[in-house]
Amino acid sequence: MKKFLATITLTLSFLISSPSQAIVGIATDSDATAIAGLALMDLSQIWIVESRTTTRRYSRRGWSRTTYVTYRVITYPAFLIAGLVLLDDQGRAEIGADLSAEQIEQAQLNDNEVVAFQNEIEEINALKDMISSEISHIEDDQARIEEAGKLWTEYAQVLSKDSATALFKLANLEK
Amino acid sequence: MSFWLCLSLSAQASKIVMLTSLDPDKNRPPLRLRSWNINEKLTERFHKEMWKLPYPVDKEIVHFATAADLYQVLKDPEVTAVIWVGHAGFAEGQGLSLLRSIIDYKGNDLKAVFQAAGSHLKYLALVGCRGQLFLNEWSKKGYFDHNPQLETFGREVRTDARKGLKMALRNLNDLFSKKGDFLKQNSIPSDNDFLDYQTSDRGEYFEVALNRENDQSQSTQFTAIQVLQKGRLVGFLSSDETQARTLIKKSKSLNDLKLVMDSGAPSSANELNLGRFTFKSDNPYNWKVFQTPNGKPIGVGKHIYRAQNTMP
Repeated sequence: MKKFLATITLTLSFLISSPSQAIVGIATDSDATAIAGLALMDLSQIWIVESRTTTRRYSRRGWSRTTYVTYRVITYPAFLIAGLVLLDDQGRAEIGADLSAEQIEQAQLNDNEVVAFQNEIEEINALKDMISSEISHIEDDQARIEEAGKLWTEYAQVLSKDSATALFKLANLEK
Repeated sequence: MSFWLCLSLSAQASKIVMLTSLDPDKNRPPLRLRSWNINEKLTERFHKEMWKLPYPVDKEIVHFATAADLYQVLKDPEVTAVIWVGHAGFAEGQGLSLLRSIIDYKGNDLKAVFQAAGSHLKYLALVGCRGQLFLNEWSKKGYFDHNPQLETFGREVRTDARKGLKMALRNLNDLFSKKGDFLKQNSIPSDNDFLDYQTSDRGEYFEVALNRENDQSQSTQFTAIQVLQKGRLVGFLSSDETQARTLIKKSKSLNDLKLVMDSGAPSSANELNLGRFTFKSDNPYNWKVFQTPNGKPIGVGKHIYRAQNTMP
């Protein structure tokens, strides 16, 4: 009976199972992050205890009964995901002020541009939020990108020249 | 007799506050009834684990906690342990983008408020995905330098709410075993208008009085505001406050004196009323909002005030 139940449970689990990222997506109602699969490893360890009894005839005098208990650790997200409330957040992306030496070199930023970019990072992010808000009602992707481009051109005038140049160079590097 | 003994022990006890900020309707696992409530589950788990603590501790639970609740609790001199349970995101994005957010049940980011942790605080647990990475980053930036005795707890991986809470309380129990009743305070420190990290070196700061008024176009209730200077929390206004005293770090660079009034709301938020700020200081500075040429403040959930020197 136990084996039968175990078989049913495992079969159901296989039917439910899908790549771990998809499970995360379902469980959290958000896009799976790149590292979600790895992180799930922590949540997915399950101990299975199996007990088996064998009866063997030792000699003509009688029978011997032996019970084996085995422990197995398996990694299986589908078991636990259903009851979890994962505390993740996709949040909102911000433009970071920390630039690597490689980024600076590739974008060909001079010292003044780097300093201006880092000094005005709050203003840059405020502009990004405002543009993001203003284009959110546009449904067509291409139209949204074009409108964002227009708004960046218009609003970048409130930034210093060095900061706007740095942003432009870094944005082109991203492409 | 035992009743009075218990009462006197309780009067000397430390206080642990658990703040949770989860919307039950959005945090219900699949295949559960509508009556399944994460806040009730967390309350049960909290009480269950609290019974195991070896010392008497006063406890309080606040559900649907906001930035104002967190700020008040972190500054409360009677509270020596705080456990926060909420959604968090920590990741390096591609290229320039990065993700750092600890959000309340409305989706407002309140990560900067954790900098309000007073020097009386002994234990801070951040139960949210990759909470430890935030704690590491804050330690690296020196946000808790004023409080070397602070013990923290967080996890580096994605975290389940109940499992994370259980681990945070068991970690607290382990600390009790190692250190004894480390949460206990011999005397309760006095309340402080400013942030504790600033008062240890008062000479580095100057005082600025903030006043906010309704923008002409808006008459809705104000939003709570985190006042930031170069990423450091220097003040806080709850939604019903219009005035505050803050300490600003001195600098010769006007750029370093820039103030960000951050509600934590995302760019998709509607009907935010951050208000318009005016400033008073004995130093020769004034602050002007960063705005478009036609006078509209730039930003959605945050407004930026740039410092200007008023000396000719």
